[in-house]
Amino acid sequence: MEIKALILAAAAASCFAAKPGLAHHGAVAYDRESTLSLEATITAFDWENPHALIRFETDGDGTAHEWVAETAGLVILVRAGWNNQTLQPGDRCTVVGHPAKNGSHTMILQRVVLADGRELGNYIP
Amino acid sequence: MRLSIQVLIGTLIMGMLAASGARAQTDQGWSPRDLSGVWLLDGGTATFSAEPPPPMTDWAAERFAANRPSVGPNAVLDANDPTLVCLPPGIPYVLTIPTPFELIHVDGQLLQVFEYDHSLRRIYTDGRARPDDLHLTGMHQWMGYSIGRWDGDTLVIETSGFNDQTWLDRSGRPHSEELLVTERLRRVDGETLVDDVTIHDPKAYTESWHGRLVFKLEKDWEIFEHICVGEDNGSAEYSEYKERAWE
Repeated sequence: MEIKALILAAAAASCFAAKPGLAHHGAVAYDRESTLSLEATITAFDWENPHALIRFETDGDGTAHEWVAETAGLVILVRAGWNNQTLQPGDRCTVVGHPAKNGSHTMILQRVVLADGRELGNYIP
Repeated sequence: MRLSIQVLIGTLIMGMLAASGARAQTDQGWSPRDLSGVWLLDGGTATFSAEPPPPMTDWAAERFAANRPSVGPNAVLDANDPTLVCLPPGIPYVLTIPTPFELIHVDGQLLQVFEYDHSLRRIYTDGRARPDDLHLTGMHQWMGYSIGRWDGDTLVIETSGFNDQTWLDRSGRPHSEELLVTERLRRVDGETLVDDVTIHDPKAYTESWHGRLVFKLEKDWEIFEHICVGEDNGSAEYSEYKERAWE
């Protein structure tokens, strides 16, 4: 309960946009010139350091694709308003990010727009 | 006599002004010599300085050529930044990491508690001299040995005694065991801490190198853990992901 209150307090205290976070692994694998906005169905949310992963499916072109979005570390996400319950399997949302240069259906997350319209940001080094 | 009265009145006025200033600071809720609080780097950066580095010595140039950063204009996928395997970042590198630190005044010391790896920098403010022979006697420190003294309302911090295994910044600039980092740290308003950094390392750089870092107070934050997880010890999911996205 205390932990939950702490997380909520941290989330409430933070701005909506993500504060800068650790650029541990960098973002050189991603194409910063390209931004994708994908209508997604969440399949899993791996809430783990060093970087949380959002797994989702998209069928924008009529063909289902499995994607994974990389985020910052967990403390950074918490301060930006996230927690480990933010995304649940089956949730529909819009995932925005820079795709990997190697075309592997992976991306570094810029933000997620939830079904209720809330936006949650991410820090990109 | 008239002169004495004038001096007395002048002294009283100065005293009133000083008292007024002190009250104003109290009213503002901060004092220039109180650096307490949680601070966050203002803006991301790959280096501590907007200035180009001074010419390197051959010794440093050889090392710089071998360093492969993970961020900045020379970023590569197969980076060898020492922090990627969780070695301590050193000074001033750790100051360029945009996770917060907390400054805590205790008797004779200023403690700098970094969220990054939950590490502690102890800055002695008790008037002791900086040991200038640590690197000569094998007592190398990853984060150096720091002393601080007040120059007016500026805390002058000198840090030395380093090993040569860390980078100065995330761009891969090297340094030697002769590194002396001088910081002039001052609270310019209630919300802002300015840190003027000077690098003096004659083995690596032909001149001193200056930079400035600015930190903003995060009033409602507290320090959490941001434990460094090495490439080989991270989550299996992330390792698998990285192979897919990065290879």
